[in-house]
Amino acid sequence: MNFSYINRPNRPLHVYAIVYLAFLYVPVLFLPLFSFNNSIFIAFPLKEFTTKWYVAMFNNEPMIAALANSIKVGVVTSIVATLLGVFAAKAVTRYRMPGKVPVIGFIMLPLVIPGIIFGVSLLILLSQMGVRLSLYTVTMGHIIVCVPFSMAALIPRFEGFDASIEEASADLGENMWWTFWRVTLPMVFPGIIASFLLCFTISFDEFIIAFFLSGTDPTLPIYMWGQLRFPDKLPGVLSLGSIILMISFIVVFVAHWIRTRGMPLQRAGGV
Amino acid sequence: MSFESSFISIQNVCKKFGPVTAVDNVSLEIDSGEFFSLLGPSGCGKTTLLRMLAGFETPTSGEIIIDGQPMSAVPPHQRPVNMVFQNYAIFPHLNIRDNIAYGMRKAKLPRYELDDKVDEMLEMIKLSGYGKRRAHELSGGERQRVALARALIKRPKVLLLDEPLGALDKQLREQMQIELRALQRSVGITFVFVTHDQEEALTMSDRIAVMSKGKKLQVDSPTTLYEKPDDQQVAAFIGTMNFFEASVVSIDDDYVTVDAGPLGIVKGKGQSKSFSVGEPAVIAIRPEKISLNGIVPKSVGNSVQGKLNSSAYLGERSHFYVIVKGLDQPIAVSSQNTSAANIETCDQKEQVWLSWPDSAVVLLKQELNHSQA
Repeated sequence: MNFSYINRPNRPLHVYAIVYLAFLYVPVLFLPLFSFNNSIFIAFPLKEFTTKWYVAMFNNEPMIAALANSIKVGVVTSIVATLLGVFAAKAVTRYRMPGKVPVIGFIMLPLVIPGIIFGVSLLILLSQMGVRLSLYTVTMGHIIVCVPFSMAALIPRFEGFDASIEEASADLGENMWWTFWRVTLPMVFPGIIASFLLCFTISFDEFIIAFFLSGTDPTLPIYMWGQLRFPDKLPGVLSLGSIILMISFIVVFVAHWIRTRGMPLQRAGGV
Repeated sequence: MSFESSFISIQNVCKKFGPVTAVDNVSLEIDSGEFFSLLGPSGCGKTTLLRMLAGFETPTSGEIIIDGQPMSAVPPHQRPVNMVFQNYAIFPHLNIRDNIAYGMRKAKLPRYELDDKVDEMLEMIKLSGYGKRRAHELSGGERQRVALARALIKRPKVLLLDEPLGALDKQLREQMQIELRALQRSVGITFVFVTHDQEEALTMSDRIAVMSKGKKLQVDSPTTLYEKPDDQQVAAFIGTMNFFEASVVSIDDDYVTVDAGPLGIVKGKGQSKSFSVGEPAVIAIRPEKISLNGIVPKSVGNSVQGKLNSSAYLGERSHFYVIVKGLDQPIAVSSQNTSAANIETCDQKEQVWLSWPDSAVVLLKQELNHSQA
């Protein structure tokens, strides 16, 4: 057989792919592994199987409070960011406006600016303004970070349908708001769900901005980081981490599935 | 100014997109119940004009009046017009019933009454039983009919159609032309129809406005446009036309006589145009009005000898191109293939005679850009 290099199997690349995936995911798998290990030391050899860390976790009130804080921040962040994302995505895909490209770039900037820069600058700004740090300030920081992700999920949706569909609605007698409600919203709805889930996940495990901007109420990542100083608390953090890991996986997959559903194949996944 | 008689009045409308003038000072009067076509090549401003009627574009200057009401301050959703879009713009998230019923929300009809109305529309477009389907399950022709029903259920005063048949294949298009025309007659709504297909415009319209480069060239019935075009551009755009340079020799009550060089002395109806003796002019003759003969015609007038250059067999008719000494372009002749023998003899004859009746000659003013014929 005379394979061209285009379709010839390449063993070194196979090995590379496997090593790469292992490097990416094996450390993550230690988390659930040690969360079922009956020892406070995170080390081999493994002791016997236990679920006591999971039981202990549910009795750990500060941890539950931190979880509740994270969920609150995540829900508000994802709602507000998605709302802003919808308006921004509609604007950049529908209207001819001056300075459109710089505006898009400006909105997308948080994607590439390091979180620590954002965290520090927001902290300086807020303390100059005399705003007390709280979950509200964390939420604000998260919204800024999440809007570009929301837009990235929504823009392909808006681009996916012709502006004449909205014109047809206007032509049939509906004003701007009714057209948005009866046509635009249902058409971009999968994008909205995807944006919501994406923003929630980002906010939920965001650490740096929350670290700078949270007051006395920690979000879950901040709380977990604090717990790392106490060795006996570590397995509890592992069990919580395992649960979050699992939920994150599910959420991301669902988001991706919804976002790509009903879209032309070549657009699928093209954020 | 008063335009009480006309239903749609477009008055000195201009539309500029930045430096580009899409519609250049167009005025039109469209009567109630008329099937009116805007015909022109792509980029001539016909779609922009239609979109201004719908309210999607605002005229840079000028005024549009529909049924006595100035439209400048009326947004699209409040205009007494509905539109059939070029790509149909069927709502993909709704089924066919809901698409057709879309515009009836404000009518606040009881459920059963709305259902009846939708059923009536489905029947009219011959899609009864398709109500639960979605747009992507329909063919192009079916989608086009849904778009039509969705607009007509609102009983608009004016229906705007933006090249609605462009995406259909030839046979379906011809069938839809007839159906659309019959529908327009039965509902009695004013149709404003945009197309670049001159055959389509000729088949369907009561009157046609020919447009080019944002300007209105001529507004007339299909017959007048074809038989008595006002100028060379219109004559060239509608159908095929042979143009010949000529100069006016004499003028009497009915005819203008011109010297058309290689064609000899030709008489033509001068129409309403004023010509003066000695003035350069253009004569135009349709290919199907010229007859091709293998032998010398009996009368010497209105005939010319030439050499058959090429021919194309198109089934029901054939096209011939004949070179005449002294003319830089061959003369196009079209003849019905009534008997097969006729064509074969013509094919073989190198020397042919062309002849035409006086009535076939259209006399036009000479324009600057003569090359486009």
